[in-house]
Amino acid sequence: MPMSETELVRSALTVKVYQMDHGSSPTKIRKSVVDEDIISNLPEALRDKILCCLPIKEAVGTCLLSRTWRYTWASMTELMFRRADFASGNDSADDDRRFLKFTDMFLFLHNGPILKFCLNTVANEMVSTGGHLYRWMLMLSRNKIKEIQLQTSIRDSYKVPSSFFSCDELEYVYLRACVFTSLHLPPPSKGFKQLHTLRLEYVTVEGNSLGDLVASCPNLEKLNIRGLCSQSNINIRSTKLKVLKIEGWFTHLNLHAPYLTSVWIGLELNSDTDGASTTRCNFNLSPFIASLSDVETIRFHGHILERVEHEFLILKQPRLFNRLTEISLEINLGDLKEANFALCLFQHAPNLRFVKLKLISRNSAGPTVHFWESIDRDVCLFQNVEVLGLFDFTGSVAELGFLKFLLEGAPVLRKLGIIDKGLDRNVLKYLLKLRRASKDAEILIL
Amino acid sequence: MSESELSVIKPESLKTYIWLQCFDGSIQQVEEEVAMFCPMICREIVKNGTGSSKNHAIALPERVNPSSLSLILDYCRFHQVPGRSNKERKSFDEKFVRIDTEKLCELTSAADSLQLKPLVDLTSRALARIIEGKTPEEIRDIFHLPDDLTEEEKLEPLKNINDDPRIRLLNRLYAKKRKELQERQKLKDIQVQQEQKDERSLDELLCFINGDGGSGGGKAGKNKKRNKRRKDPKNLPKADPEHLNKEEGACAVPCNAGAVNNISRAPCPSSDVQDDNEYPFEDGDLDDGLDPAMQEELDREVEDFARRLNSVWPERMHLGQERRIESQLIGGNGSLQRFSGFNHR
Repeated sequence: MPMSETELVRSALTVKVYQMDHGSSPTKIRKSVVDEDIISNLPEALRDKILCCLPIKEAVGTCLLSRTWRYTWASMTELMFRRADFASGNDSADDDRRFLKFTDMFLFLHNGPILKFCLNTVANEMVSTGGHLYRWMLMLSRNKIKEIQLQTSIRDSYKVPSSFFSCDELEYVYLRACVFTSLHLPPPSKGFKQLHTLRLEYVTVEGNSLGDLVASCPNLEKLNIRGLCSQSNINIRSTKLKVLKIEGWFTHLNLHAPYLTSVWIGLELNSDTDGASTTRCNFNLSPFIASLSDVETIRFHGHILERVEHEFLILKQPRLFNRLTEISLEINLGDLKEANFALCLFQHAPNLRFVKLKLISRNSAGPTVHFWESIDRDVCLFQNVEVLGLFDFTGSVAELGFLKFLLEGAPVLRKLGIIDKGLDRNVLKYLLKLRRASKDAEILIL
Repeated sequence: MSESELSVIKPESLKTYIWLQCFDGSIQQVEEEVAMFCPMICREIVKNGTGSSKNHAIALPERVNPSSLSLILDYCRFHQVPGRSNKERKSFDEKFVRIDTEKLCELTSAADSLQLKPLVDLTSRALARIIEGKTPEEIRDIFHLPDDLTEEEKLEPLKNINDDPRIRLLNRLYAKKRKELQERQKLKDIQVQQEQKDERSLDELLCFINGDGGSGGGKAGKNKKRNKRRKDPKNLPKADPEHLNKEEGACAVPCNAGAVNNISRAPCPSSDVQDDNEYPFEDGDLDDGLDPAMQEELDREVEDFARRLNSVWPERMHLGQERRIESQLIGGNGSLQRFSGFNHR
């Protein structure tokens, strides 16, 4: 009896049967034994891992391989849905539909825990419109989800589904273009006990929902918010937080996170409300800084220094940030308040190594202050500063005063980088003439 | 040996060694610092104190064969050296996984059993790269997978997951039929007029009632919603009566056959069914007064469907299907007789 083509390529498992039933030739048997199925014998976890490395469509395609692979894809633990994979080049609306249907179908047929769910629809707005996200989130909340990354379009903003708050095994969250209302937040007793990283982009926050959210994450270590939009009081308190970045449009920020190692706060202003909002801003920056104990990096960008309280009484008790090695400020060195703030920071950072200043001259109308020249020369600052970067250097009196102060005081300075807006010959002459405390100091005008 | 003696000896011999035993019984000696790179071995040494002598060699898991072990040790030897740049490590890794696929599988498995996570990640990615972009046949060839699925089974998941336009078409048509049915039930008193159009047998009606049950209302509602959104003139497809006919033809088959599997395949008896000429539907008398939004949607679906047919579709779709469909069509009752033509091209 002749063997069919398909039978020939069957796995080694069935070879013995052939041998008995059909008396196949020995060469054929040996070939089949050598051709043992080499990948299906891998443990399930490894097959899962391999599938998770594949583009999701191809992962699903493995169902056509063989009986062992039939439903392996359906229990994949890490899912990455990318709208870009569905681009056909002609009808975008149709691609959207295919993408949504695929994702729906995949989740419908999925079986078992989903540990990681990533979505990327940055260039297309569609996810929130049909309530897809709400259904998907509900599905995820029932499947022990640990990591959620939703890279959705900024123009496709959605309210964070309430089912999100019942994903209580979450460890990593990245959301984009969403709105946090104060309504859905879980009682603090529940919360996200495992969550260590929360990354938000272009997020609108109502009330103190952000503070409540952080409060419900007792182990949150990284909070990274870009494009925060808030009109109300944000009150963030955490004793676990190590890395904090908040950038965006907000007016009231009250921080208490004493164990931060990295602080990055950036305040943007709407051009139309520039003047009006000045008085309404409210930050507890000084007490916040004073409460820090382990801080290594401080960055204050945007208009934050301009908008904080008028008097900086940074530290009531003399205290040093021994670990602080990097300071980056967006600052108007000619402004007495801001210059004073910077000086305070420098004074309390004996181990400072890297300084980066983005220079602005907002209130150029104000009187020229010889703040930096007036500082007592006996004050030993910048003892460990190695690198100084000055961006948008204009060569104003205040800036040159600061530069003189630093160059004369920093004994181990290696590099001073200046990015200028076209420097005057006289300014260059002045720069060259400055005495440098460090013999290795190199000045680069970029 | 005193300390002063030790210091004279070359640093080479200061290295401590441990003994490892593979499942096949072979024993070998390995620098401890290299072997310690594997968490499983490290734990054995630290926790159980094994490996210090030949008699107390660390028994490696079954999945670690001698050839994988030597590869793993190469990997550890390179990566345990501190101070290598990321670039160096990356290029080593890249070269390291350029091995025979079978070896790669064994290596993955062995690394996994030694809990050497970075190597597991590396080899899994490499295996995924091998699979990526290949047809099922090619993958089966590479990994010697048995081709043990029936044609029927191979088609099933495609329909479910790949958003097969024919399935969508079918769902729409079902929704349409359901809507019609609802309307008919509402207008029971003018049933007589309706009867002219309704040529379906009782069995047909029952078949789709049983088939879809409750989900009907919701689905139809949703379609409508989507249509509203799609009122954008750019997306508005032309109302082509021929398309409608085609769709009627496709829909008539399911009702008759009664099983979803057959239905969905019916409209594509061969890959050269490409344009309207291939569907010899004679007349346009099937106008059933669709709601215009629904009609747009259906037109769209049909266009999709036609496009899909023109593009890739696996050859195997057509194996042995034609005859079955044909017999079903011919065996069907009155309303379907005129469509049977489309199998005899």
